[in-house]
Amino acid sequence: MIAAALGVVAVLVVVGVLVFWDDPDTPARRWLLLAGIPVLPGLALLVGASRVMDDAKHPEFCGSCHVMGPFIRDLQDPASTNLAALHYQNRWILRDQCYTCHTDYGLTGPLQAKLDGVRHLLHYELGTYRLPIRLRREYNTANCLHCHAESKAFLGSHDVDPATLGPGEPACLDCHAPAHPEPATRAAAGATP
Amino acid sequence: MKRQSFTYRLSALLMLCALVLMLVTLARPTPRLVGLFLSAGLGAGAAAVAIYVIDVVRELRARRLL
Repeated sequence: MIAAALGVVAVLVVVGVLVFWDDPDTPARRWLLLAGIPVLPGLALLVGASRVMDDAKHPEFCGSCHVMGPFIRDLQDPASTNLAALHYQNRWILRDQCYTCHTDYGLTGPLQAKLDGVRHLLHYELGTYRLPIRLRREYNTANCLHCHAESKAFLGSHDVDPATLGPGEPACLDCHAPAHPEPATRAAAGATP
Repeated sequence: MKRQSFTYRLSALLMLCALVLMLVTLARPTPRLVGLFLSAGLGAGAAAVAIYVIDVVRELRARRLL
């Protein structure tokens, strides 16, 4: 809301700059140029970009590419027992559920997620993706352990050191799969597998 | 002065395009619009600021204030 309001104000100021373009070259006009071209619109763009990137974390955004439809429908299907649906419907993750599980923690995780997003967008727009869609690399078990490793439920039911779980080792999804509907189920749901 | 007027106006128009694209994307954040805004939109905004700054510097130099 703030981003949109700031954007509207910035548009009005830029339009004002263009309308009063031929005014005499006074100090007031110089200040208007400074505020109306780089300062206020630049600030609005930064706030807007931040807001847009935040919006892009919502599951609805992920579901707006039709290849993701079966995944989103499964998240919301009360009959689904897939891992992602359980996390979504029980609100074990409050918001941005896709982003939370598919973004690595640490300094480079969000950056990598954004680069992945750009790659997904390019493949989607160019039609160069392959079906059934699948993860490019092994799912990072550390993303599960970030929440679960120290939880009472995990410690009470797993006789394993969380540090030993991970790439090349027993992973959460070895026992708790599937996280999402399998390709055959996606096709049966009448959507792109 | 005429050239400067043109570049300032170009800068304002680029910024206007970037802002309009931002508002459209905020209203309807589809992947295509988000991609367009974060690439072309922010690129246009950055170009607008760069053109403005370069022109201010040129003008100050012409007036021997810099």
